[in-house]
Amino acid sequence: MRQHPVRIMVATMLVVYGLLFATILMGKSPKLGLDLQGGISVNLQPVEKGKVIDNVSDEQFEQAIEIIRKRVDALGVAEPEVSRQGNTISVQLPGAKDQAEVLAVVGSTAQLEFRPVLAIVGKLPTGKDKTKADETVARLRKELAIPDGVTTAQVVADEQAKSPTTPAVDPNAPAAAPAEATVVTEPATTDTTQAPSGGGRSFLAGRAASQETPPGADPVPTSEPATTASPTTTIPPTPLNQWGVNVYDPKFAELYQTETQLAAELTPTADQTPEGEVTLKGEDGTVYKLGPVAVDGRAVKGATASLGQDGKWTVNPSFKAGVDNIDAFNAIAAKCYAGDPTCPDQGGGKGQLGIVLDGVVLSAPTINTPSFAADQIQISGSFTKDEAESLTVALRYGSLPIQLEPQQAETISATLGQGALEAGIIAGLIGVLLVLSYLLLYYRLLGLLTAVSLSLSASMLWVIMSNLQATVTLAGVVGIVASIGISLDSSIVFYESLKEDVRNGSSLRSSADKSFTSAYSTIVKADMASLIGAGVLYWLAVGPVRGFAFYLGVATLLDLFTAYFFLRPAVVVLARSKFGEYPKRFGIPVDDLEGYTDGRITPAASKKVAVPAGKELS
Amino acid sequence: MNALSKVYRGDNDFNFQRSWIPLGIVSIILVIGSILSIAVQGLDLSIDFEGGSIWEVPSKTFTTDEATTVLDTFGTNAGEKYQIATTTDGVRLVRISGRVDTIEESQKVVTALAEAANIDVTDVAVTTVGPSWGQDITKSARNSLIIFMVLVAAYIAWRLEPKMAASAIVAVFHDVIITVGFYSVFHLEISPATVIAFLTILGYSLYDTIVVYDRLQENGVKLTRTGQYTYNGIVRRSLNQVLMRSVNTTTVTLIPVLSMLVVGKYIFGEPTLGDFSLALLIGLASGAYSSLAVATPLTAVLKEREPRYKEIRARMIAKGIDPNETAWHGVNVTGAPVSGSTRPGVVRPTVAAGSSAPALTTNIGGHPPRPRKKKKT
Repeated sequence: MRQHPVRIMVATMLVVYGLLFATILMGKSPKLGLDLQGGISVNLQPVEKGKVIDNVSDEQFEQAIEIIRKRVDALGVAEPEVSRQGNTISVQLPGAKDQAEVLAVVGSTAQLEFRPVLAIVGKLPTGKDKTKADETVARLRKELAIPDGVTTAQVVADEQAKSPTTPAVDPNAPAAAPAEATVVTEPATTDTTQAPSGGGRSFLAGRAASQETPPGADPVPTSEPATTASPTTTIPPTPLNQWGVNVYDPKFAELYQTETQLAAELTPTADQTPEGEVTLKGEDGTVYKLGPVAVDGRAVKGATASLGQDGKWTVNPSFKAGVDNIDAFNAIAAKCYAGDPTCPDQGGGKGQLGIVLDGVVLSAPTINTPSFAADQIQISGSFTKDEAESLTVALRYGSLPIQLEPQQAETISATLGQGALEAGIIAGLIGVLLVLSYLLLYYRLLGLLTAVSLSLSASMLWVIMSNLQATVTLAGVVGIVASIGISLDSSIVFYESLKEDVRNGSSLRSSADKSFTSAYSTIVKADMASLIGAGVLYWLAVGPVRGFAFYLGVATLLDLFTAYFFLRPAVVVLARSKFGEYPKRFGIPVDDLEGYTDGRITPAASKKVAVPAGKELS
Repeated sequence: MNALSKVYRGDNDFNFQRSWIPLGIVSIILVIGSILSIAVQGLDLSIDFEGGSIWEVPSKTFTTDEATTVLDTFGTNAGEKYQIATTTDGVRLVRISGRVDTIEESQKVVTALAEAANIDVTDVAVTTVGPSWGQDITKSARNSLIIFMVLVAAYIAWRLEPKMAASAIVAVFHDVIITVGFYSVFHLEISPATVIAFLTILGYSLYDTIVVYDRLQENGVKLTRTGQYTYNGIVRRSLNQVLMRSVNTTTVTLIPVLSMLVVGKYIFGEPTLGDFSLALLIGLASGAYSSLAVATPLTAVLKEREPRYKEIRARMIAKGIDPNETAWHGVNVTGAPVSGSTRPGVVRPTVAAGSSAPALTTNIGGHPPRPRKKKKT
């Protein structure tokens, strides 16, 4: 350190500014917290009988977070954040606006249920397929010139109502035939690949008919496949519906089919009663019609995932003993095994039992044994590791229900946060300018070094903020502004110590490094108090205080860093330069000291005092 | 040389002790006043601590009277405060806070307000805090305060001295009580931002205190050995040495905070920034003051009772020196104080070669300049 102050100083500056440059080049920037960009924040706590409890295990928390994250993802918010803070689950939804909706989604208790599968209805496209389907719909609607807000179902209904040749059985007037026919045949062959033929087909036909055709009109019988009534052989009559859409165009048929698929009606959350039948979606988009709840999550004792000898993942739930638990499970298992009407045959003479969490069918295994021992159940299939684990978590969650209730909910409008951010930044900048001018006046050249050291701290802070992707909240901004003071305190302690040494007779050159050593020990002691404070706050506090503590702690550490690796070598370099002969330029008055002439070391004294320092210089 | 230029040159030797008793009385009055005010008037806690809701209705025409009408249908105390505010981009807001602490109920209020103001439900910003959440915040703030105190006290006791740790903690309590008292006296609302401010104050207050203590410790070791200074004398010397340091660190900390208060609150009208910086300002001022006027005197009182300082005092009296005369007179190597050199200006050591008068004194309080020590022989 003593030998190569220039190298250390330059290296520190290169590293810090280099990191800053790299961060900017990579296009990284800090993430703004909710209070700065607007959105909804909800804090949930575990509740039992209306009271907040704090004996919830880490595992339960993780399961709860997992489930909430899934629900939040369904809301379609850009960057949702679900995190645990002590006894609290904090949900941050930037950009979200409808608090009531968020609360309904986040605040409801997760329900694990076992319901027999009555039928596999179809499959909703998911992910890429969904996007593709949406695109197809948009394209076809444009080509067919169907006005917005009018569904193909309405067109078909209108056409049928006005058609003199209804019912549609008439082969010469295939009013809605092309459309309906594809509904029957297509989904059965292509879309419900998992569904054994039979149940799926008949239900879909029935539903389509009851929904799309006006009362009284005879639905297209499923026994008459569309292929026999070839639309091309007949002359298409002019469109009768009020929108003038040509329903005989094959494109219309395609559109009708896709739209119907997308509009597959699932039972709304409010209507999902345990006693009633429901239509729910599986994670892969398969739509199931399910019977009443046979067993609920409370019956589950636990679940594990294991890798079988055949290299396939299996999930092994275990049930509690008792009438409501394993007995109830075995009762429904027996029915499913036998293909009873309450759990009808889904192929191979056996029924399927759906495992439903939060209104989503996680899995619907076929029951292969009429009766199970409570801890000898195995769900096998083509699970991936993740799928198996996710199902395990769901099953366990059902067995350890914690009820989470929103304790705090907040909507922040982006304009308000933006204003606060601007005000904070402007206030911070003005503060920094004022402080730096004060230090320049008081410490002259040393003030300049403080400015550089502050810019180093700021650069490092930016690099850390951008790379950690830690969110910057308003409290964080305030913490940063407040930490400016702490950074400057350290340089002041150092400069004052230097001044004292020079006033006591040491030369500036020889005392620069020595005073740093004694000042740094003071700085470390004093900074420790801040660090302890920041650590305790980060560990214990919730919400805004945490963000503040984080930045206060980081800024204090950076202060220790820049003081050691920049301020120390920089002051040594400056003191050994020709400026070192003029202590006044360091804010150290020497006019009343002997050994100085016109604020400069008198040649005689300078020889005596500066010789030892001179040796170090070379 | 006037006092200011002496301070600038580090030649000051103020008798701080003279003001300790009056300052102590001021501190005691302030602390008692604060406690009384907190006990009698209580604190104006924001909804974050007690549960409740804040609704913000952006509307050009909606009046507080209309808001009151809406809130009255939700029972007493549903709406307590009605304010009209304008955001930076000129949006007029009606801000209502009240004691609705269930989220369902609060949503109903939102719907009613949106209807009354004829705006979209999603435009009404609402914050609702359940009662147990508030308790949680209060509990975590209290716990962190206690743990912070214990850890810092342990740290100071380890690195410096247990007696200093005890005095530092008293000083921190002093700062917190006065700051909270200020909020109570002027009916200012305490929000989580204010709590953050309190906690920052503790850090700052301790920073100054530790800088003084560190010097006190260093001087204590050096000067006690000479037997020429009582602990009070050592304290006086140390305080004078770190005076400019404390003034400067306090100034540079106050400037950004003041800027936040003025720019944030009065120019931009940001209540959060305003709350925060006001608490910081009071706390910082109190912290700087308590480092010099509470923590240090307390340490002096505690240390002066130690046998070795009693002994020094007794020896000084035996020699006919007034132990209450604490002015800096340098350190006479032969053991006797330099007569007639109680004026601080004289004792300034210099590098002057062959100058005989200052050669008698060696600046032990600071860092003894090595070349001069050799010369003296």
